[in-house]
Order: sequence, then C-alpha cells, then structure tokens
Amino acid sequence: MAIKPRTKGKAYSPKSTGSQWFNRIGFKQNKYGTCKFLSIITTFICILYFFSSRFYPMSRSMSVSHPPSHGLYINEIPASSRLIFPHVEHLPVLKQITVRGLYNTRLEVDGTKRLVLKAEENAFTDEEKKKTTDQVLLVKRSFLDHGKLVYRKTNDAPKVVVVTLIDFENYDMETVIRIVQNRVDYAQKHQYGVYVRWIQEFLPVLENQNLDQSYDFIKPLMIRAAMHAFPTAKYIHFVDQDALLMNLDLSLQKYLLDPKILDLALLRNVPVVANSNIKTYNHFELNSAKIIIPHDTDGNIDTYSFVVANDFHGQALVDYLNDPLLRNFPWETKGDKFGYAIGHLLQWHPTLLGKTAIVIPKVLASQHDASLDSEDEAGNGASSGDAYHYNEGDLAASFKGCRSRGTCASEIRNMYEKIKKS
Amino acid sequence: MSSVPYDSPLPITNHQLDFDEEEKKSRGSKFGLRYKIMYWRGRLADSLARSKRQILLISLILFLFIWINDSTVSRNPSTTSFQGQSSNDNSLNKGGSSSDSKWYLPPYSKRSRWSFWNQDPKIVIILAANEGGGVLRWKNEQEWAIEGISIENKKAYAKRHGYGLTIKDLTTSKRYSHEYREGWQKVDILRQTLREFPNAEWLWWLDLDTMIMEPSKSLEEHIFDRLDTLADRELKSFNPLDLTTDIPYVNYAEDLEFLITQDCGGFNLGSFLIKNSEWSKLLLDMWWDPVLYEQKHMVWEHREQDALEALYESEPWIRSRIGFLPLRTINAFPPGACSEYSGDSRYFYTEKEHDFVVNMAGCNFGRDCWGEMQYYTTLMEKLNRKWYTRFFFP
Repeated sequence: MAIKPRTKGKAYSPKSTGSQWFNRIGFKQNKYGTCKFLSIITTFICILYFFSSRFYPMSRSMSVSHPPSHGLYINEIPASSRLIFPHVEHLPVLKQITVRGLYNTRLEVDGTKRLVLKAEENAFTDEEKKKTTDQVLLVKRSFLDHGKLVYRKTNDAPKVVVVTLIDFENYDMETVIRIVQNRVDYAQKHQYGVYVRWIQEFLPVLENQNLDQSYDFIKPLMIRAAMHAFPTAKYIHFVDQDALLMNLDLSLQKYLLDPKILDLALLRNVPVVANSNIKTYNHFELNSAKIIIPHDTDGNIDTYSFVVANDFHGQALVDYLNDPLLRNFPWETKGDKFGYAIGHLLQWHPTLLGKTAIVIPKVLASQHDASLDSEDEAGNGASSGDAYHYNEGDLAASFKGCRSRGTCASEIRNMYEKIKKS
Repeated sequence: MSSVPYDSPLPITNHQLDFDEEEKKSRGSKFGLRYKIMYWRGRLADSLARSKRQILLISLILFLFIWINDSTVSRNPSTTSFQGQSSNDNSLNKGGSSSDSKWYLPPYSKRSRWSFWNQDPKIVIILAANEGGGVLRWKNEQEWAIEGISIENKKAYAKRHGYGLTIKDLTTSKRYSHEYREGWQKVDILRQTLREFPNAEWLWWLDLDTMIMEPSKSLEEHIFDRLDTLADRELKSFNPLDLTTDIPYVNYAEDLEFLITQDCGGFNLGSFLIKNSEWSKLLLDMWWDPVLYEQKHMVWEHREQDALEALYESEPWIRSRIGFLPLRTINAFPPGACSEYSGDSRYFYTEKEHDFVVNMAGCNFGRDCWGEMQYYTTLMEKLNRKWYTRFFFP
C-alpha cells in the first residue's frame, strides 16, 4: 500500500497504514519526515553496498596455498641488479678445477660416473665467504651459486632480457669478457636485462653429459632459466656466444617487436625448413607473435639470435625442447640439432607455427662472412649487399661455423673492435 | 524574387505575403508550444514533488534488485600470470611455505538469469558414443541398449542445467589405425568440438559407459565453485604413478584449465574437464608429437593417457595448469574396475555419499557392461525418486 503512488493531495491522510507505521517509529508525519526516513535508508544501503563490494572477495580467498615456483635450485637468491652475469675473472681457475671438480659425481649402475646437481643446496652466505680463505672453494661456490640468482624487483623490471651462454673450457678469458661486455653495453643502453651463465652449469641436468654432443640442447635449458629469473620480462632475446650485437642503438622493441616493423621482416608462404611442404602462413597475426626466429642462408631455422615471449606459448616451445624424449632423440642432422628440433616442432604443430614469425636473418642475426675481413674479393660487392650476410648497421652478426673453423676468438676480436668504432 | 518563368508549371504566388503569414502562424504555434512545455513542466514538477518518496522508494528497490542480480553474475577470472611470483618476493629464500593467497573467482562466468537471448551453452558435454561402431565385430543389442540409456541420461542432465551436449562417433576408422595415430581420436574430437562451440567455456568429456547418478547437482556447484579446495595440483594426496612431485619452473599461480582424475593405474581420461582457452588449444596440438610417439608407442599401452603422463612428468608449462580431482567427484568406479584395490574408498562409487558420476571403465574386458548399466540405472532412479513420484508412476 505504501508504495502505491498517489496523485491527489490525500497522500498524508491518517488512513494510510504506511504513514501510521512511520508515525509509530517516531518520524513526524509530514512531507519531509518520510523523505528523511527513506533517504536515511538509502544512505545506509549505499554505505553497505560500498563496503560489501570492498570485502566481498575476502570471504572467498584461496584457502590452499601452493609452493612458489622455483628453478633448478630450490633456494634462490634475489639479484640486486638486472644485469646478471658470472664472475668472468674466475675463468682460469675454473679451467683448472674442470667440470669434474665442480660437481659431485655419482657412480651409476652401468659403471659410468654422472655429475649431480644438488637442488636443495643453500647459497654460500657472506659470512662463510669471509671465513673461507681457500680461493678454489670460493670460485667453485660462486660458480654453483650463480644459477640461484633471480630478479624479483617489480619497480624497474626489464621488458626484454638478453640471454647468452659462455663457455670456460673452449674460450679464453679475453673473448668471454668481450662477449659479456657486449651484452651489458647493449642492455644498459635500452634498460634491458642481461642473463649470462656458464654453459657448464647445465651439464648435470642432461642425460648425455658430454658437452660437445649436448651443446645445442643446453640453449633451451638456458632460456627456461632466464624466463624464471625474469618472470615479468615480456621477451627473452637469446644471443649465441658466437655472435655479437653490432648496432647498440637498435632497441629490440622499436626495431623488431613493433608489428609494423615485424611486418616488413616477416617471411610469408616460405617452407618452414628447407624443402618442407609446410609453409609459413600468409596471414599472420603480427600482434600475437610469440616466437621470432630467423632463417639462415639455406632456409633452415637459425638459432644464433632469436626472440621468445615469456608466456605459455614460449614456455611450451622451450619446455618441449627440454623434454628428455625430444632432447635425446637421434636427430638426423649434421648441423644444429636445436634448430632442427625447432623446425620439427613448427612443422608438426600448426598452433605453434601460428605464433611463430620466421623472419629474414638480417633483422636478428646476419651471418658474418669471415672472408670479407681479410681481403676484398671480387665477390665482395655482391655478397655484402644481400640480406643474409652482415652489413654495417645490422643488429647482430653471427659467426656461424667458427668453432669448426677454430676462428671464433679472432672473429669476435675483429668485429668487437668495429662496434667500438661506431 | 520571381525567377520562375511564366510558363513554368509551378503556381506563382506572392511570396512576400506568404512568408508573413507563415511567420505569423509559426510564431503563434511557437507561443503555444512554449506555453505547453511550461505547463507540462509545471505539472511534472508538481507531481514529482508530490510523489518524491514513491520515486525514491522505487529507485531504491530497483537499485537493490540490480545489486543482488549483479552479485550473482560474477566477473571473468582475471588472468595475471605472474601474480603469485611477484607476491613471493619476501619468501624467496625460505622456499617451501608461502602464504600466497589470491582472490578466488570461479573459473567460469555465470550468465545472468535475465539474458534470454544468449543461446550458447557455457558448458558442453561431449559424449563419446558408438565405440568401435561395429566395424571390427557386430554390435549386439545390449550395446545398442547401453548407448540409448547413456545418451538419455546425459541428455536429461544437459537439459536440466542448460548445458550443451554433443555426441561424437568413435567408429574405428583407418585414419586412426596406424600405430602412430592410435590415440589421436580423442584429441581430434576435442579440437573439433572447440571449433563447433567457440563460446563454450568448459568441455566435459564423458565416455559412453558412464552414468550421471546425481542429475540435480550442477557442475558449477559440484566442481567449479569449490575448485580451489577440491583440485590437487601437486600430487600430494594421491600419486599412483609415483611421478616426481616437484619439477622446476612449475607455476601454481596459473589458472587451472584441465581437470582430470587418477585411478589405480594412473591418469584416467574417461571423464575430464578442459577449458576453452588458448592454452588448451596449444596442449591439444602438442599432445601428439611423432618424435615422442616413435620412441614410446610400444610402451604407451593407454595411448593418449600415457602420452599425457609423459608430458606432465617433464614439462612445466603443462603441469602448471593441470589439476587432479578426486576420482569419485566425476569418475567413480564400480567394484569391478581396479578390483585389486577393493576396500580403498578413494576409487569406488558409494551410494550413501551420493557420488556424482559412475564410470564403468573397462567393463567390456571380461565384465558385464549390460548388467552394470542396468544396476546403476535402477539405482539412479531409486536415488532420485521423490515422494510424489508414486502418485504418477505407481
């Protein structure tokens, strides 16, 4: 009855039961009394609404807590800087200790000795470091603790992390310093992160612990570690140690990750790997590119410098490559097994291919032609102009095959000087 | 003024005069309109002033209605991937225990009761029917009957709760007979269904030999609303395969997108839920890889189940989003299945506790499918009989 609108002036007649009810509570029975009563209720409900929306989710907060995500080591150390790289000056000592001396070994049933990674191991504390005088032990511990570093600051988290593996067995100190310095110079210019680790840190994870045979499959392990060390980074840019970032002014985000630029570099409707029937898509969603990887001169996947997004698409690719079943498969290739395996995954899994931008090598890793360094050949003019070899101004130069040529150190030295000049 | 020639068919009039009159007219009507507006405004203000509290009351009731209605319509779950990790800043060195709590939102969007125009179901049941399809041997009448009963059961359930139902044919076909493709059918059907129901949020796969015993329970109240406490993500409570419980890089802050159960022999894919998401599409694509299968097809007896176990064992991106439901929540067994574990209350259908679904898994391997189906159908009818049923069906 009370709600029924009245058009005549009889609204306040004492017959109305609603008014009587108001009267009883003590509100004056006039035009403003009832309004006041209603507005008090309205305010009360508004306040209730405001507070209930504040506290509503609290009543359903998660009662189960899960352990935090961890990497190969369970106990991790927060890194203070977004440039994470090992003590390069330890290289001569590490060379002396050798890999066998760095890890504990376990005798397997078949009589082979295997390196063991202690996942539960705690990091060496500062106090322990002060007490220890044994230089070798300090170097050993710093090698083992380096993998425990993770970047967890949220205020200036880098969007892109440059990732590189370095090798203390096959490279000399000068070369390694150049490689690391190159990444640091580049990252500092663009506020990116750097994640460098010794390649030997990953040996215990592998089934085949021969470094030369398993070299290629340490790369995905490294990328996964970088994804974990920088969880808020959008992209991981892997750069092989046999490559240098030559043009430090090119920001990866502006230069390649921008859809408009990526559009120009993208290879459409070309075989995913040489002679494959599977071709890259004509219609590619540029905004959703999760993996950006170049082709080499032969039209195969090149792994000297490529970009992987740090989300489940990128993780799926890397995790699949880290699957022991895939890693230990006898891949029928003489070249880069890692690139071959990526080529396999892209051909077999269209969903992944739909998120992969295969680009021209020039934008990520133009191959450096060593013959151009020494002398000006007749073919010089032709090859320096093509899209596959390094030209001045390209982002990176890769020294593919320098390990078999045995010229990595000299090539890196030559090219490193060229960066300095520009 | 008179630019119109004399022989023009247009009537020639004195325009000047015409204008004056028109102006007058319009002025008069303008005055009339203004008066009318003022009059009605006065009336409106008057009646508004008189019925102020009625208007306030009506708007208050409307507000309350919208509020209550709104609170039943939940928001979409937010997907911020690194939520958990960023909140773990301080507990880094301690490892193990973290009090990482995230606001729990059910993993589906409730549809408003008032949106009658939206016909797309949010949950779609896939019923895998016609197993074998009579290709390799005759399909007998009992198998036909089982199929009829099972389909009827799912149909009634889907209708009752507004879910979609799609019945998929599992006829043995040459496409899947090659040793590398033996288990692909399930994955192909799931991908096909995702294409057919692009707006569905969850898919519920059910084998043919299943029976929904408690049709009154909706999946929302039975599973999704209590998913955070129901699902086990770390194999803590039950690990029949003895899988490694802790592998690097698994991120439990991710949403659950694939809900499966484990029986005595490992993963059981007779009844599972999968979310319609980019992650699921990628998983369905990556599930089968010839390199993995070439090495393992002699070992992987249960095909797609074993392949998934292998992926779960070693790949953190998959492990991050898989949750295990207790077997009895969506996949309870009759005493005949896992019979060597009889007495273990984790596996078997219990009438008193009103288990949701019974799955007569493996009943065609030396057991009596028809008998079991008959038994559970009668039981289901008995359990769901209301006191007034006897008036209509004596």
